[in-house]
Amino acid sequence: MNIVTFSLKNLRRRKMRSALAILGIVLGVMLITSLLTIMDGLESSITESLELLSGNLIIQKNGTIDQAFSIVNLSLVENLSSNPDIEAISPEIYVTRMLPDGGGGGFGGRFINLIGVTDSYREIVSPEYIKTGTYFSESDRGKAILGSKLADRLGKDVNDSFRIDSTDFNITGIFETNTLVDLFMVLIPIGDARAISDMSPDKVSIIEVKPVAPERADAIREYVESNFEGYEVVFPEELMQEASEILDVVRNAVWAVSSIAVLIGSIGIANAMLMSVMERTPEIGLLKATGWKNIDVGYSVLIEALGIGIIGGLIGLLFGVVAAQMAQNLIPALTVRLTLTTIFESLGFAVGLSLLSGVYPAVKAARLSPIRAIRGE
Amino acid sequence: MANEVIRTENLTKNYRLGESIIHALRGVNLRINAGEFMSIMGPSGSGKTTLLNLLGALDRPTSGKVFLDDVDLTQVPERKLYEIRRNKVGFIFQHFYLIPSLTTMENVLIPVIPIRNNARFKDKAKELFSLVGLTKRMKHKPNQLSGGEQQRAAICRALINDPEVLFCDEITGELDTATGEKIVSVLKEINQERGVTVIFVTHDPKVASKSNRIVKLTDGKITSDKTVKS
Repeated sequence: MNIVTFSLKNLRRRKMRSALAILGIVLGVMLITSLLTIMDGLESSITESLELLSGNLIIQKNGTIDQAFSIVNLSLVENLSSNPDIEAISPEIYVTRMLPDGGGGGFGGRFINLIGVTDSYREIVSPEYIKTGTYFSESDRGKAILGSKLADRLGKDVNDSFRIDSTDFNITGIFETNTLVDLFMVLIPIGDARAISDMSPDKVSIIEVKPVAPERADAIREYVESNFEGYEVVFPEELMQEASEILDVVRNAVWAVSSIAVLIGSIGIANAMLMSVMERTPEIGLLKATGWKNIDVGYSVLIEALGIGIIGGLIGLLFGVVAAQMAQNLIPALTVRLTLTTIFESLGFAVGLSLLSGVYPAVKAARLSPIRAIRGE
Repeated sequence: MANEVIRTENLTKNYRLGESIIHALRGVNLRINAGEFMSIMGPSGSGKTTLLNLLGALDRPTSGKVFLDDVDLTQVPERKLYEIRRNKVGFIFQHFYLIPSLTTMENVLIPVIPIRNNARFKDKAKELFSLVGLTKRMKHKPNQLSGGEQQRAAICRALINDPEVLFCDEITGELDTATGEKIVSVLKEINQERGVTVIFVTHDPKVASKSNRIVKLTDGKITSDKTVKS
């Protein structure tokens, strides 16, 4: 037996008290872990959604926040088609609608993004875009391609149909990007989108442009913004930047809240350790009378506190991941992602604070005079 | 000339108790030779236990000196005292102070827990168990042992580091007479076979009668010091 096993055996002596101290840490770490995994899931989902554009640029009305409110002259397509920096051009009409039947999920209606596209859309997305079924043709009417998760939620498959406003849509294909987009995006022929949105024939919402090479993106932006007034060119990277700035704020808030939780937990450890040191005063006196150094005694108390921190941290980590998973099952828009950083951060936090909360009881125990301690003073 | 193991010079110890000061020891001069089997007797409050704690490096005197193996304990810094406690002395107390969650074997090994490579002490412990007749109880917890067995376990714990001096503070206080006598004879055996110096603090005349020297303490002073031929 060494001091570590001795200390851990001590933890098992007061099972209820140790369990309560551990519980305090479990709750804190669980909170940190679940919130961070949800945060990371959100972040990676946003990143992936934007990567989906894979270097594509979006030309939209100046100052647009939601592409459904952008209006761009279709004549721009003509102007850009001869630009040597551009490989493909896809004019698109964005329409936001709520599915009348709610679409399940228990949160009332489901908003979906209908995107009216032309045949050129195929040229700006990756070849593996369609998972099952086929593209519709630009001249088709009442056809749609659904995101895979949306199709799942609606219980629809290829050849099924659904209704938006007064138009019936027949599903020709399902696309999958493994991002949030799968959950709310529906591609329809541009003519249908124009009809639903009452957009005039010479306008579209945005124009998506694929550069011949990523490094030509700046040149395209400069060309568009200097030659056509009222338009802006958006890089997905810029959107990512904005999103991650917002996420950073949320992440800090998450840390602030969870820190308080773990802090309260570590006060629990300090309390449990102090009580245990006080109860065991004669025993500590005996350890010293038999030749334990002050530092041996202090070390033993610290190990106990650390044991609580590690056990609580590990259980909290497990529960946190489970809780995040449950949250995801409840709210399908959430994605969870457990990163190594999250594991290290939440465990490290628990362990660090438990050590810190063990310091005072450890010093108190180490400083006891052997003879007074044996008498229980 | 017999080998002197302990010597005190004008040892005093004062305690503060609220406003008043208690003079527990008022100048004790004592020489103890290696291999003695002695008792320190005296009424409650006469300073017996205080003296024992000073001799065994558990406490520090107010003034005077304590030599253990010619080392002046009052000059040993606090952080070095553990070496004396670990290697030179062993203590047995009235309340056995066994840790209830540990087996008898584990309890006996407590003093060596902080020592690296302490596995070698297991054989030593087994040897001590057979010496005190506790071999069959090694894996039992203290609450499964009788009072006498618990005190024998405490003796093994005190002996695990081969101390030169064994300090016994009222060790028969919680035992019935017969059991107490057995414990004392076990210690007598250890004293004779191993040459360990044994110093009792006791009220019990029966314990004292087994020793070969009886020191009487009254109000912090030695009032009688008799060597008994055994």
